[in-house]
Amino acid sequence: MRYGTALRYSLRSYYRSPFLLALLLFLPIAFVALSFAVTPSGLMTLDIGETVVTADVKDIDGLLVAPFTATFLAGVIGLFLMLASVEADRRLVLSGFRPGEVVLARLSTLAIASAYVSLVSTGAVLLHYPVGQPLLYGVSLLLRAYMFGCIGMLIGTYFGKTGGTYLVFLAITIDITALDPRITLGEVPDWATYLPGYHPNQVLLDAALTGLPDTLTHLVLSLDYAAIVTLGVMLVFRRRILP
Amino acid sequence: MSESDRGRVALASLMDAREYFRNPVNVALLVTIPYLFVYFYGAIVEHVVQNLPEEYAEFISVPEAYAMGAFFGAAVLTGLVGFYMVTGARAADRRLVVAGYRPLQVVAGRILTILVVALALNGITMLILSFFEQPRFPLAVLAATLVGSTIYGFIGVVVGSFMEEFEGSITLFWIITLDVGISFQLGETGSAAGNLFPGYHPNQVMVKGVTEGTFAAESFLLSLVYALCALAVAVAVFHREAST
Repeated sequence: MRYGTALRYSLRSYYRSPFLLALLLFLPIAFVALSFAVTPSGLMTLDIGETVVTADVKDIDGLLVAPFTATFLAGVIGLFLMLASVEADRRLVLSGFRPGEVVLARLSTLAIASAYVSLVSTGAVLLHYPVGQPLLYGVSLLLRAYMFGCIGMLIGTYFGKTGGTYLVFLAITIDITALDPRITLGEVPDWATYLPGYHPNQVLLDAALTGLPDTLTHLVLSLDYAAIVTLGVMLVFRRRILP
Repeated sequence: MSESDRGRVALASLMDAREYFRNPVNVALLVTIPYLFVYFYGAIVEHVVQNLPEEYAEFISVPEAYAMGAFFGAAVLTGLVGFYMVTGARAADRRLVVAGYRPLQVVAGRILTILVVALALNGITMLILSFFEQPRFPLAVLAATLVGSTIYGFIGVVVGSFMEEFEGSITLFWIITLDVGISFQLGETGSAAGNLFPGYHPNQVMVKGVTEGTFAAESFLLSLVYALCALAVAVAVFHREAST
């Protein structure tokens, strides 16, 4: 019951700002459309996991811009969720809410926001490219966006707004760049396999370009990773809001 | 401007710069973010070009891609500096005015800080760029990224004065990304629409400096006009923020 109240109030800050909702809707659509419009065509052979595929660079770019946009938005949402809500959440705990309820409400807000931007991004991609497995593609976006939302929350715990925004941006750029199949050409460096985006990226590429040879493994590992960052956020957030 | 005015502007600017640079995270990221952007754009195009037919390379060359990464990284960082300066400094600026500063002195201090950060950032960015690719006319590239990122510093101020931090940071990122993409696509079409985009003319200066080794004086002049217009709006906005 109290969890529901906390969640409703947490979400209210989003839906009472139509400009923000419009921005979260328009940004993925614009980025994906721009990517498909600007990138020139040209076939490229890519080594993805156990499969070699030939795809148009324009399509690959569009397929990868969607996770970049979704993770960036979720990362910033997570960052500001932590920066803006700690004081209010502390007061909620003082007034009788259990810390777990408050933390869960904030994480649920992040999950809902991540789902929203992932859904919009997936829809934007589908307007330009017939993804073979749109549901899996969307799930991979959601997992990556949610993880970076959690990372944004962790960054927000220790850094201010300026440094925090830079760091979120930096973390996402490293993740996207290091795993870009046009750069790795099938040889992802060992260190990059530990990045949060590695397993969702494999699911995304499988869903969009290959015949899903090892998707289940990567999906399970993505969920594991998401569970670990969720636990990290719960511990850190809980400690921050305890009086 | 009297000596007292200059002293006050310098002091206000020094305090701003100190606030920014005393945070080691901000300083570290001034180096790492441009590095990643230069690498990000350059490496992708370098790999793609190696694996595609020659006509693809005609659309964008590897040196252009590295320079574009430098421009994007510098624009994002300077834009965010301008943005967070106006959102974070409202209360302090008003206190300075209450304490006897004239609003214009406070505004001049803030603008000076943006210029100093832009200068430092572009110096670092050019140094990073030189590790990856040596432009044929490095000064033209420096001039382009400097004036382009300064425009974004001022745009950051304007965005920051009208929007909350959350919406504003997203909006700023959106403006810069769309501008860099569209400005590049417009290329040398000479389209009148290009004049609307802050990055269009700096982009022309940069591309000429990278590919032909020449200085596109007309585009640079138009970039300066754009920068002056953006400065005028930023001053008006800062002035309003400090006065009310």
